[in-house]
Amino acid sequence: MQHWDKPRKPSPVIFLSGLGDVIRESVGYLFLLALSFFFRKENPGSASSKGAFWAYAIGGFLALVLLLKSAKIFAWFFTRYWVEKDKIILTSGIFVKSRVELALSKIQTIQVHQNLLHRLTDTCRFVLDTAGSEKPEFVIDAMRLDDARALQQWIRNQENTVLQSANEEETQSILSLTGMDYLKLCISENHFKSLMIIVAFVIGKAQDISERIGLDSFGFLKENTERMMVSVTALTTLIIFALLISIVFSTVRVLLRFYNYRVLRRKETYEWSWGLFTRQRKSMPFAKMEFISWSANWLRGKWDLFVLRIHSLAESETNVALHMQMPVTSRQMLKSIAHQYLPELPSETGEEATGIQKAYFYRFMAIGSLVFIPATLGLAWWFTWKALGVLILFGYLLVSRYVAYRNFKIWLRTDALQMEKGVWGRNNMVVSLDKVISVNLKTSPFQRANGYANLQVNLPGDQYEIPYLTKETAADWADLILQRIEE
Amino acid sequence: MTSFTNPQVFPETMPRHSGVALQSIEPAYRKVMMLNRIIFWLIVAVLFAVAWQFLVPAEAKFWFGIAALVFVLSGLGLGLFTASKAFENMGYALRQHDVIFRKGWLFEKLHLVPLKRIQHCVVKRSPLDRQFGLASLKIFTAGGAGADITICGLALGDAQALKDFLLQNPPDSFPQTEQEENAALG
Repeated sequence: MQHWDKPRKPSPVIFLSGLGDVIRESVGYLFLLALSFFFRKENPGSASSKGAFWAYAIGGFLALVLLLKSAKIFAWFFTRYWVEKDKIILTSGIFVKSRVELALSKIQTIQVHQNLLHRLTDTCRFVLDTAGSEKPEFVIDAMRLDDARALQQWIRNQENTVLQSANEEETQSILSLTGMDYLKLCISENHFKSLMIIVAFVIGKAQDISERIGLDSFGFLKENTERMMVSVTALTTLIIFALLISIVFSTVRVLLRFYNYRVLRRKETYEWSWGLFTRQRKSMPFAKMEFISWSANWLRGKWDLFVLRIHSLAESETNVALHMQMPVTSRQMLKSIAHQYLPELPSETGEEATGIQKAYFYRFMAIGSLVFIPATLGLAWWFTWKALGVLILFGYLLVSRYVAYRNFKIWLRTDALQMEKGVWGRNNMVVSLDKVISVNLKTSPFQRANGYANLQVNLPGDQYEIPYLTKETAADWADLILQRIEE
Repeated sequence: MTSFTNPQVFPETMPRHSGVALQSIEPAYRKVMMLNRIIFWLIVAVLFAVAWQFLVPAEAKFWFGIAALVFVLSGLGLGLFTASKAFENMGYALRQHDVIFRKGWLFEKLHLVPLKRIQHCVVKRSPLDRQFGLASLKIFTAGGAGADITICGLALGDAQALKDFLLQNPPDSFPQTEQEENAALG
């Protein structure tokens, strides 16, 4: 039994961890410094002092970095953590002292990360997250793994005394991925998105290099592109090459995200662990689950493969620190995990879903026609038949809108709201009505004239809008949700 | 064994928000809204005047001046019209368990915020508000960006009283209905 009320130091591995951080943060600058040296214009008169100048420059630079980052390297001397009554405290800093106090009851997630250094030294990075800010408030870069696990368990026990009797026998493994699952995940990844990430990265780096060493990388690219003959073979080769790169990149992304992915169900919490180079572990008590969502693109939908997210308090969809994301490989598993949040998913009760009104599509068609048809006619004056491309785009948008209208389904029961939407893929969201913060009813002049309204449901940190309900349905649903919040 | 229950709710027994008569905001706030728009368009007019004086070539000054004048006057006219309409449509109501606030004219938005979900409130006063003895009450919830509301154009005393009431948890000074009083007395 460990006592947490006495101040403790982190593991001495924090020296190495800090040094690693410093090297990682400086290596980019050193690389640029080396590039500048390599590409600089030769000045015959200064050859003798060249070596000395660069030695001083690099030495001075390293000294500056060490000074600025000394807090990280020497964190062991100045970092302490302990528990006082119902809060955990972390003090740190050499020049700028900081003291973080977190109420145990406000802790949303507990994360344990292990990179290679941590694994070799049996330590970990320990992170406590509340809903208070974008970044985690409590971070210890190196803590003994046993200590981290004991502290994790201790905090959860304090949150719920029932847990005091919890033991390892009550742990149930509910998810681990097979080789086939990885293959499906890799194939069904969004390769176009991967390609865009690569392009953005390459452009960003080219711009960096251009600015730092005065090379006109864009000019170089443009010159060479203009020289190249655009033939069908060249274009096909380029597309195949881009596709291959993006598939490889997607595969790496999937492996980094989901390698050795495991989900455990303990008595009162879910626990996730994953990672190839950096092993990460997160836990979230069932009581902190605010709402859940899952999504699948077209291909994943066909394979019953979903990405499930369990959202914690008061942060948006994009803040990954506060939601748990996991690949789920069957509907049965999805139901099993969701069961902890809601005994029965509204869509599984056999009740018929409510759709949205067709005016959602007609209005888009009317407004789109007013914009796209004159635009096509106008552009045809200059571009002749090529202007038909605008009409084709409009056609695609119309089809997408119609499919979106058909796919929009809502199940509202007295205990929960479920929403399913999407054009080619599907996104689902389920929220227990007692977690809803507030509701808004929104109407445009067109909607008022025709008796429609949008219902906006505000959740902790996020909001979902159900468009084009009949005005009466929207009002009834708003009243029902308000009543459930009060009960 | 699970304690989960899922009782049926009958729509006819639900308390409805649609029958609630919203309270209008202070008439003086119409003047504040109008003055805000006049100040905005005055600033735009000054910017046009500066451009007319220093940037526009001499041969284009006449048509630029006409276009700018038409733009500013029509913008101001439209602004005053929409402000007046928005004012007429703005209203709020306090029920035992929630606050209702309606705003917008072309695009109307009705907020329904349960008192349980209110985190804190702030009373704000702009210089124009102070001039007319008004205040705005900003109500913060734990929800996302669209979940917080600002009730503008309240008399200062009303804003303070409303804030104090909303921050009682649970609110206890609400007058009971006759039925509730009878039920409480048995």
